[in-house]
Amino acid sequence: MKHITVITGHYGSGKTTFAANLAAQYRRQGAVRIVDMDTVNPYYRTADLSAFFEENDIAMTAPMYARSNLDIPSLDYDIPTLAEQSPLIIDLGGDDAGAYPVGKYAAYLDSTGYDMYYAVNFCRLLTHTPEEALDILREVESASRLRATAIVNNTNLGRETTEDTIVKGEALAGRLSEMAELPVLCTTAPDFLATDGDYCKVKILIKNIWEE
Amino acid sequence: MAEERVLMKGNEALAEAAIRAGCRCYFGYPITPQTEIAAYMSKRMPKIEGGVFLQAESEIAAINMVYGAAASGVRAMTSSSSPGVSLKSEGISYIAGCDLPCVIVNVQRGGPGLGGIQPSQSDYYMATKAGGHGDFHLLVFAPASVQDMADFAVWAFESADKYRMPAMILSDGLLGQMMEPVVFPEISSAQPEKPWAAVGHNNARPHNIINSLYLQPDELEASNIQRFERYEVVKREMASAQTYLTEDAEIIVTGYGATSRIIRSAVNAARKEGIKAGMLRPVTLWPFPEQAYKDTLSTAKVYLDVEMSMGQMVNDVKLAIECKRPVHFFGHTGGIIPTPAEVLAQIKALDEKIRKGDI
Repeated sequence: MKHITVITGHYGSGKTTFAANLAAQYRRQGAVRIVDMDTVNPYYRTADLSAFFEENDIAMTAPMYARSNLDIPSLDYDIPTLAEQSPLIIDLGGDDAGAYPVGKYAAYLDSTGYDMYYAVNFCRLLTHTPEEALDILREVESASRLRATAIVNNTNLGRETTEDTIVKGEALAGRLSEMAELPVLCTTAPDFLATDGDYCKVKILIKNIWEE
Repeated sequence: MAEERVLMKGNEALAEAAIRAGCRCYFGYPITPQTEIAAYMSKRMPKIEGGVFLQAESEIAAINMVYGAAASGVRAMTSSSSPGVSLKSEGISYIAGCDLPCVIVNVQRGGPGLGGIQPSQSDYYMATKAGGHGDFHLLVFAPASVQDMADFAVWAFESADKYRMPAMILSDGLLGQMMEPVVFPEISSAQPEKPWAAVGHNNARPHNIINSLYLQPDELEASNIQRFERYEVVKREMASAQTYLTEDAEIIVTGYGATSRIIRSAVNAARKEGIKAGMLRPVTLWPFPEQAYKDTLSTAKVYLDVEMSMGQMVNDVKLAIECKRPVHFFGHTGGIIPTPAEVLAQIKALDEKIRKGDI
């Protein structure tokens, strides 16, 4: 575990859910802070999960205007200052558009070292193949001026995810891994799925209001 | 590939399905919570033969570009959210006055004014009663799932062409942003002939005129009467509703779009407590599925309308049942979403009134 971990990926690839779960895992080894750096979409953002972070004693930093009457894409915090206090998990917005803000810290992160995990869901239409997922990975790297260090295979169909979904995703993640010359950090499985597979279990934190 | 399920946001599913339905011109302007439609179109349209994506300088410009594209017979679409759709209303009226088919998407947010960015259903009046000035209607479709967002994009284009009417997909921020698995419908590539379209023909026929200006009163009235005769056909052929557990229901809970998902959960909970509740969801808001409401009168003692508005659909429900039963209302506005527990509490209160003989 590096001191700073950046989570990136295609829009809707499950970055925020994965980042929150990773923070809970890191918390078992000591203090950790999750940083909401999503300047793209005010819906389904890290700051929405503040109750989960409080419950798990995880510090959170979000743009001061997030979820306020003025949800504008401004970042009023400083990553090097926050990093003095504890390890950080930085949750970016989707695609290259969401990856630009962290580019401000590219030189700093190069000097300290970092992990950047690229979350991919092969059930998304624009990352349906390893080639498409690689295109978006390269766009994200170019925008962030950072290099991904591992792939997180987060292939899922939401509530309808089955073991079959995950197995199909694993094969595609394997090909992406070869093409991008990056290791696959883990393959995720949602908490509601009963499976004996060697998966990283992910607690599903975002639910629709009508789900019982 | 066609049968494969993919995980999509409602906005993306609608955009992808529109392209598959033959939409070749998309004109938009960003506004939360529908911006993903424009963002998706900007990525996909350049890869489609003949595909045009254009970010207009304003919502007004975008609807007038749709007006022009539709006049040439192309399947054209624009999308926005509540305040942006208000801006489009003049153009929508012109399109309706010219009998042009097109699709307008409204991913509703809270209002009035600039309002908020969270989900709302407070544009029901605007969609069904006041989409612009003059005597006209829009076809109005109300999706309730990401799959509906995809299916209704196709339905809207096909119906718009068939009846030569602008069609509106009345969605909301919840449906636009949420993710669900979706299968894209098989689409026949054949589109209807459009002999009225203003396209080049090398003088092979008299020229077509696309116009909504009639300075002669008798001509303007004739055009309105012709249009309203067509609307009678649309009412017969298009009115659509979905029912759930209504066969023996004493309490009919009604609501459209995302709210119907909440109602369904509440109805299930009420049934577990032995309360005879059912759901009636209008799928088309214009034409309003009046017959589906009348069909529930044989068992219904009371109606409960649930919306994310101050009760804009209540009067249509009362008219559909000809005021033969009381119609109650429960809702939230401003981006607050009614919960299944709140709706269940309303159902239980009505059930108690029925038991006491107060209804």
